[in-house]
Amino acid sequence: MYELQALIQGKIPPQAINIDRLIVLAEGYPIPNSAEYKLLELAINMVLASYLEKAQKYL
Amino acid sequence: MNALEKALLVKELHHLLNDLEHGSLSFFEIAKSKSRLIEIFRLCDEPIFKKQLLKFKSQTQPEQAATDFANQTLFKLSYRGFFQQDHDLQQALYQNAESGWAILYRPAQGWQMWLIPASNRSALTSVWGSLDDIYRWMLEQQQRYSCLKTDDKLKQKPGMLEQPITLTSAKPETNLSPDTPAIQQQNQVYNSSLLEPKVDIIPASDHVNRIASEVQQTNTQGINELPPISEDNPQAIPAITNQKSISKDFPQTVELASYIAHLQPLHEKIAAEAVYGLEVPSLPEISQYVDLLIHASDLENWQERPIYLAEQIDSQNCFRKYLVLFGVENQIQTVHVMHRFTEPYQHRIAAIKEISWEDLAETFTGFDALFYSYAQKAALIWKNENYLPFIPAQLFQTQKFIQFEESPADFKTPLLLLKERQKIRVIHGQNRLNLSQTESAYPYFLLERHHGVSWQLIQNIIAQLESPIDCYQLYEAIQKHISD
Repeated sequence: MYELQALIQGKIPPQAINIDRLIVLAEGYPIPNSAEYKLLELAINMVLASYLEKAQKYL
Repeated sequence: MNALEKALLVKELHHLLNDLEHGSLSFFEIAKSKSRLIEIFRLCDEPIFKKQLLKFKSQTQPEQAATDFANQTLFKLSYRGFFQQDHDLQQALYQNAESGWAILYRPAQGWQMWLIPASNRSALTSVWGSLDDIYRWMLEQQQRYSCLKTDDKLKQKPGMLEQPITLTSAKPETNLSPDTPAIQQQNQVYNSSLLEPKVDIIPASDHVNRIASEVQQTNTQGINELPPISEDNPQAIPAITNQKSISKDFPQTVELASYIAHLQPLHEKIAAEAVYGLEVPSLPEISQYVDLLIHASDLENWQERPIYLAEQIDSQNCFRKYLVLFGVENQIQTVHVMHRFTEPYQHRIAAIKEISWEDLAETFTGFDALFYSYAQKAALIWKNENYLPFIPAQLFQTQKFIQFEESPADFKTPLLLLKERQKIRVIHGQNRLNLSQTESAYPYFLLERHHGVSWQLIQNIIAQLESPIDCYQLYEAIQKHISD
C-alpha cells in the first residue's frame, strides 16, 4: 500500500508498480466500499491509464 | 470492471506491449496482439479513461473522435468540421469568414487545427500533433486574440448566427456509389488508413487478417501540406494581449449558488493544466478556509461533472485549508491537478472526497458547515497513510475535564474528543493544543456519548493505564472496552 500511496502522490511513476503485487492486493481487498479498495482502484486506474497510453503507438 | 479485473488487464497489457516492443513476433502474432489491444480499449469504456479512449478513437475512428472532441469544447457552434483534404477544409472554413475552426487529419501526420483569428483573415494553422496538442494551441490563440465566441455567447446573440454555418465533411455521401472516380479519390485516405472508421463492426478475425496484411505494407501516401501561416506574422494579427489574463471570450465568472465567482489565473504549474482559481468577492472570508479551483475545459457545464473536496496540510501535517475542485472529469485528473496546485506552497493533500453540488452549495460559505459536509456527506476517494480528519478549532471546547499526564505531542498527534449533548470536549490533547495557537483545525478521534462512552468509563480506563498516557493508546483502550 505504501507503494500505491507513493504513486498517487506522484512520487513514483506507474511503470514502477509491481503488477503481480497489484493483483494480490486486488484479490485481498474485494469490498468496493472499503478505503483499501478505493485506494487500490485509484492506483490501478492510474497504472491502467498509463499502459493504455503506451499501447496507442501499437494500434 | 472491478479492481481485480483491471489489474489483470494491466498484466496482460504489460505482456502484450513487451512482446510488441521486442519485435520477436510473427506478422500474425503482431496482428493478433494488436487486435487484443483494441478489445482491451473497448473494455476500458469508463469515463476515467476518456483521455486514452479519445486517443484510441483518434486512430481508429478519426472523424468520430474529432466530432466528440468538438462537442466537448466551448466552441462547438464555430466548428466547421473534420477534413482530410485541405481544399475541402478551406471551402467550408471560409464559407463564414467571420470566425471558425476546423480540423484537418492525415493518418501519417496526425491532427492540425485551422482557426480564423479575426474577421476576413486567413486561417492560422497549428503544427501537426494530437487532438490534445491542437486544442492546447487553440486555447493559446483564443487567449491571445479572442477569435472565437463561446457557444453561450453565440446563443445569447442570435445576430451572430445570421450567416448559415454549414458543417461540411470530406466524407462522401453514403448513397453514392464508391465506384465513382471522384469518390474513390476522396476515399483514398480512408482506405489506406490502418484502421478505418467502421472498426466497430469488423469481425475480430477479419480485423486480425487486415492488420496482418497492413503491417507488411509501407505507407507510401504523399504529403501535400500547404505552408502554414505563421502565428507570429505581424501582418496576420494586429494585437496580442497579455497571455496570463483570461480571454474575454472565456466566461469570466461562474455562479456558485447565489454567488458570483470570478475566475483568477493561478501559478504557472496549475495554469498549464487549464485550471483557474475562483474568487467570490461577496464572500472574502471563505478564502481563509477553502481554495476553490475550476478546470476550464467545460466551464458552462461544471455542475454536470463530479466535485472533489480535499484537505490540504502543510509539511508539518498542520491543516491549511479545504480545497474544492470543479469541472474535472475523473479521479485521476483530480489527483494530478490537486498535487500540482499544492506543490509550490509545499502543501500536501491529506485526503480527497467526492461531494454533490447540492451538499456543497449549502455549506461552502462557512467553515463549520463545510466541515460537517466533508465529514458526513462526502464519499472518500483517497486518503494519505495514517490519515486522520481535521476538525475546526471553534467546534470543540478546549477545557480538559479529566486531568491526567499526557505523553508529549507533535503536530501529527490527534486530539481525543467526546461529543455529548451537542458539545464536543477534549479528553486528551492539552500538549497537542499547546504546540501552536494559530491552527484553524486539528486531527482528531471522536467518541460519542450516545455510543455508551461515559465520563466514568473514561476515568476508569485512564486509571488503568500507565502515565504518561498516549492518545492512540487511550483511544484504542476505550474502543476495545466498547466492542467487548
